[in-house]
Amino acid sequence: MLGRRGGASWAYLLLLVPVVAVIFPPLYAHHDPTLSGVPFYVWYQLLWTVAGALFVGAVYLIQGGGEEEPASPDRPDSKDRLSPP
Amino acid sequence: VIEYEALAVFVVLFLVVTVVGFMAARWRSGDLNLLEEWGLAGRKFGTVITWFLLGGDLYTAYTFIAVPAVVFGSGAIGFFAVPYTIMVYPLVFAVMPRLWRIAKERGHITPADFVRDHFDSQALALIVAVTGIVATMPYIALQIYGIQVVLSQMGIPVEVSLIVAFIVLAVFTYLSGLRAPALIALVKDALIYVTVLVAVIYIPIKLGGYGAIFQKVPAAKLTLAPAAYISYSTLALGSALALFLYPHALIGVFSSRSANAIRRNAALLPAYSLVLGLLATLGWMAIAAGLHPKNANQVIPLLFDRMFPGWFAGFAFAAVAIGALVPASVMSIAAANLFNRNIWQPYVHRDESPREESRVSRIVSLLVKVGALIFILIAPAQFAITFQLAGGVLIVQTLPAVILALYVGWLHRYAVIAGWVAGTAWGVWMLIDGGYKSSALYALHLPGLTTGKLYIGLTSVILNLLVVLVGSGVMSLIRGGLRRAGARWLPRRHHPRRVDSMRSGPAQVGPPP
Repeated sequence: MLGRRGGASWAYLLLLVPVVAVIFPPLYAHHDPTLSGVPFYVWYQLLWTVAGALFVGAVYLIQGGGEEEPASPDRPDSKDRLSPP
Repeated sequence: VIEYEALAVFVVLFLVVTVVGFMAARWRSGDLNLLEEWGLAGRKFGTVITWFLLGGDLYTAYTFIAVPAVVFGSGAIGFFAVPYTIMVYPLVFAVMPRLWRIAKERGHITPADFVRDHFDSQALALIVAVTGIVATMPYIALQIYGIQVVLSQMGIPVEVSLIVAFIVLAVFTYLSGLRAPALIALVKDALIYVTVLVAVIYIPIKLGGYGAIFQKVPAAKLTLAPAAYISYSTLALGSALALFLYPHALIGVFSSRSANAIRRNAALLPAYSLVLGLLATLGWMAIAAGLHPKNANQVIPLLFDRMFPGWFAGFAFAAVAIGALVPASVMSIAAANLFNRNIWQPYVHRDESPREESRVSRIVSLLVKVGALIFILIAPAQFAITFQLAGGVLIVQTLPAVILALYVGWLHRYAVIAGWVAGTAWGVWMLIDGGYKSSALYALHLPGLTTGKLYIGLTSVILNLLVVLVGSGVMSLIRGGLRRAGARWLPRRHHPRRVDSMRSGPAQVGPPP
């Protein structure tokens, strides 16, 4: 059920990585090592906003995300751009 | 003191947005007399517009004021907004494309439409609709409060300017529907990104660098105390579960053109989470700058005012105020659609014509905002803050009906109702018993075990889920037992995807052939 498109349902497990990375504060509630003065607690979590996005993006690609579902012909992709009214 | 330089920039940007809001009615024009056009912009938004709309809608002005304010006031625990927004997108990626597909195929406009269709239960739909409206109303009020906070920093008469800003918001929403906030979100997000990037570079330069800033912050405010670990993770997880149950978040899902647009957004929206995280660090910068605002929520406007030259302070204030217009508009549309589709139509005016349907939503969206404005003008802001906090606990109780139902086919409507009653009652009881503390945390005293302080939204929804699963299991056992005993009079088990008046023929849930 989950991995219907593209088949690779194991890829959904990758979605858990960012969750696990931030759900246990003991992992990162430390001051050191600092990164140019910024405590570990702060930069670790900021880093995971980006890394989390990469994991989600990876799942998208592994699942064959590039293939667009057939769009209805009256709604071409170009409409995504702003056109003058 | 009126700060004219800031005010001038603010007013110009506000005028630009007003024009954009009115022009939006003609953007990708559709028949705005149809609710699907007014309230969902015809489900035509692709990846880019959905990104701006959801980003503009979820990361609200109040968030931008309140998150750094909590970091300023309470220290490291206020940073929970960061893991919260990290955890939410894997969930969105896994769940929302499925909900989008069903909504699209079945013509659902609100989450309660989905619930009514799926469970064939008007009562459960009413519960979901009322919960959505109650949770959204204080959120709208807080957006207006966000505008109020920056207006008062500029020293202009707050009430009059607030009413002007409000009229702008109300009129463009009435005329243009969801297209207006989507288009304004482009401006809003650009302003916010510029403001935050400048703030996290320029302010540390003025304060002597990040090292100097974090050295000035008391250690207790910099890292989490071990006792707060469990509060931190339950707050983050519970909030992540709740976010995409809010009607204003779901409207951004339903208005997307494709399931892929949603998947891509799950990977692209974290850009806003990074911005939010950077913004949260401003709370520590304000501590290092030695600010003492009268009210913690004033801390970001005050910091901008102290650090930035006048014109850029005006730019930043406009970013916050315009940042309030987008979510306030989307929330009022979402609340109006819920009222219209799931309360007004089934119980008051059964056969609304499409034109009436659109008009009712427009008028209700107006009333919702008037209510929020009056609330902010006459009641202390703390009321709205408390109610919004309670709103998070309430909205997460719709999790079984809206999300679990997508995966578990044997949920029984009465069990889902019972779970909602149990979760809501216990959640509200904990909120009251905890004295409405601004953190919505509550320690459980179980036999032989006292937990740390846990987020009420999470503990109450766990009870809710238990009741739903056990109740549904019991219901199917009873049903199976009766059938074996030869009870032919039993109605056939309701098949959620067949019973529907909105569309004939069996709807398919898989990808199009």
